[in-house]
Amino acid sequence: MMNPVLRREAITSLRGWKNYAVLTFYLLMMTLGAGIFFYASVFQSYRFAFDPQTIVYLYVVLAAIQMALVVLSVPALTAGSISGERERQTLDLLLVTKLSPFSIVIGKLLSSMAFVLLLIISTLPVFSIVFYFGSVGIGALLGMIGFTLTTAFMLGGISIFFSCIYKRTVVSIMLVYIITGVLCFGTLILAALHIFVRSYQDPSMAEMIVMLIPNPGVGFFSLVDSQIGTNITQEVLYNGGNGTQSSFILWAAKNIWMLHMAFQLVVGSIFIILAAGLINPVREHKQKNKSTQTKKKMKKEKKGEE
Amino acid sequence: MLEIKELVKKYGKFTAVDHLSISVGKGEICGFVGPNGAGKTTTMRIMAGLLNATSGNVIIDGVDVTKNPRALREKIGYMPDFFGVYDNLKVTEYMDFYAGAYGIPYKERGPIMDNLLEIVDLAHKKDSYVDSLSRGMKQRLCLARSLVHDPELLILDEPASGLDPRARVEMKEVLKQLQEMGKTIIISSHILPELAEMCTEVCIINQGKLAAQGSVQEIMHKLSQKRIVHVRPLKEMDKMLQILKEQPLVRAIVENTKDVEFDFTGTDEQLANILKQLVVADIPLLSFKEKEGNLEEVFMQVTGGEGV
Ligand SMILES: Nc1ncnc2c1ncn2[C@@H]1O[C@H](COP(=O)(O)OP(=O)(O)OP(=O)(O)O)[C@@H](O)[C@H]1O
Ligand SMILES: [Mg+2]
Repeated sequence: MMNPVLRREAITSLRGWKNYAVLTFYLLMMTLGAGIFFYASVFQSYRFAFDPQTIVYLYVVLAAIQMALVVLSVPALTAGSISGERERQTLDLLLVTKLSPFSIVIGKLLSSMAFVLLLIISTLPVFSIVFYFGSVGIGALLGMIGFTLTTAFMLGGISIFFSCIYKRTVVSIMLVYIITGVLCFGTLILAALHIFVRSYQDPSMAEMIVMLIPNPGVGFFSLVDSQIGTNITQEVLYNGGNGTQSSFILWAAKNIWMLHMAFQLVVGSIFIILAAGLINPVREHKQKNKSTQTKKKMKKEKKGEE
Repeated sequence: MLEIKELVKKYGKFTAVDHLSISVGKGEICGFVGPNGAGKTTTMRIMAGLLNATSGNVIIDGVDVTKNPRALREKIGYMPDFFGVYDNLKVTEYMDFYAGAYGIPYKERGPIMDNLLEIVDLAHKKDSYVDSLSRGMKQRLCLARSLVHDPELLILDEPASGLDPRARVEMKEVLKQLQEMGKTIIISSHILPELAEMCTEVCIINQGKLAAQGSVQEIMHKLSQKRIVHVRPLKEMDKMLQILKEQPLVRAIVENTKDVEFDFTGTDEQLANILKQLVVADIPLLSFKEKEGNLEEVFMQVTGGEGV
C-alpha cells in the first residue's frame, strides 16, 4: 500500500499552484540556460557551426543549473512539511493514527523527492539536445539523476528535521541554505587551512579526500568532471598529495562524487530518524524536558562563571 | 474499558492533572466536565497517546496507554478540541486519507466512508472541498474521521464547541446513534447541562482534581443541599404563603408579584406532600415545579464558582 501521506500530498499538490510555479520557473531557467549557451558558443562563432566538443559544455551548464535549482527548491518545498501540519492543527490527527512517526516523515520526504523526479523528467527534452549530438551517454545521465536525487534526499531530510523544530518555515529554509553553504565553502576553507598548516610536510591525498567528501560543490564538480573525461579533480588532488598512492585512494580521488552520494544518504537518513524522534509525541516530551533542564543547567553554570 | 489511575501531569512546576482516578465501563457515555483550564484536554491527550503522563496509568482494555501508546491506536478514536483540515482535498479524499493512515485496505474504504458520512449527515457533501465546509460540518467530518477504523473507545474533546444550538442538537443525535452502536464515549465540555441528558455518567474535574463522579442524578443529590421550587397560583397568594411558611423544609421564600420561589431541602415525597397540602387547601395552582438550571449551580458550587 502506498504511503498515505505521499498519496495525499500528491493529490493536493497537483491542485495547488506552488509546484506549478516552481516547475515553470525551473523549465524557464533550463531553457534560458540552453538558449544563452547556444547564443554565446554557437551563433557567436563566425562559422555558425555546431562543434560536438562545445556541446559537452552545454551538458555541464544544464547539469549545473539543474543542481542549483534543486538545491534551492528542495528546502523551500520541504521545510514547511511538518511545521505546516502543526500550524494547520492536523499533526495530532496524523499522530493518533496507526502511521508511525517514521512513515509520516518518510511520506513527506518521498513527496518532495517525487517532485524533484518530476522536475528531472520534465527537463529531459532539454537534455536530449546533448544526447542528439552524442557528446554524453545515457550512463552519464543516470549518474546525474542519481546524484540529483541523493542531493534532494539529504537536503529534504535536513529540511524536515528543522521543520519539526521551528514553527516558521523561513527559519528552516535559511538554516538548510546555511548548512549547504558551510558544506560548500567551510570544507574548502578547512582543506586550504590544512594545506597551509601542513605545507612543510605535504598533506596526504587521503586526508584531502576525506575533507572534501562532504562538499556538494566538489561532489558535483567531480561528477561532471569524470563524466566528460577532464579528470581535473584527480589531478588537483594528486598534485596536492605526496608519495605513491594505493589504488583505492586513486579511485576515490577520481570518484569523490560517489563518496559524496554515500555521505548524502547517510546524513539524510540520520536527519530523517532524528525528525521521526522529534514528532513522536510520547518520546518527544521526555527529550524536551531533558533538553530544557540541561539548558537551564548550562545557563546556571554560565552565570556562576560570571 | 477505561481506567485512569492516579494520573498526574505537570508542566514544569504547574500541575495540570493532579492524581486523577476515573473508571468508565463499556458502552457508557462519560461526560468530562470542568471549567477552562481544569485539565480536560490534557487528560484526553494523554489517553490518546499524544502526551506523556508525569506519573500514573491510563488503562484501556487492559493495556496501559502510558507504557504502550501505539498498541492502542486501533481501539481509540480521538477528536481534538481544535483541529484543521487540508486545502485542496475533497471530503471523500479526506476520509480516504485517514482510512489509509489506519491501514484499511482500498477495497474496504468505500462502504466504510459512505456509511460514516451517512451517520454524520454529510453524504450530500461528498465531493465538496473540506476547507469549504462550515464549522459544524467540519466538526461532524472530524467525528466521522475518528470513526474510520471502528474504534471501541471515542475520546471527544468539546465536539460541540463553537456550534449553534441546532448543530449542537444534531451532534447529540449523532452521539446517541454511536452509543446505540455500542461505543464507549468520553466527551468533554465545560457546560454540565449540555451533557446531562445524554451521559450515563459524569466526572466533574476542577484544577486537575476529580470533584465528583457518578450519574447526573447522583451528583445532584450528593451535592445540592437545596432545590429551588417555583410556584404560581392563579389567586389566593396570601393563603398559599401562609401554608408554605408553616413548612419546616421550606426556606428563603421569595415573593414576586405573581409567583413565589423557595428553597427546599427534603426528598421528592416531602415535596409532593407540600403540593398536596396546597391542593387540599383549595389553592388554584397554575404551576408547581422545580426550577431548572440547578445543574449549573451545582457545577458552580463544585468548581468553586470559577468559569462555566
Ligand atoms: N503545553 C502546556 N504547557 C504549559 N501549561 C499547559 C500546557 N497545556 C496546558 N497547560 C495548562 O494546563 C492546564 C490545563 O489545561 P487543559 O487544556 O487541559 O484545560 P481544559 O480543561 O481542556 O480547558 P478548556 O476548557 O479551556 O479547554 C491549564 O492551566 C493550562 O494553562
Ligand atoms: Mg480543552
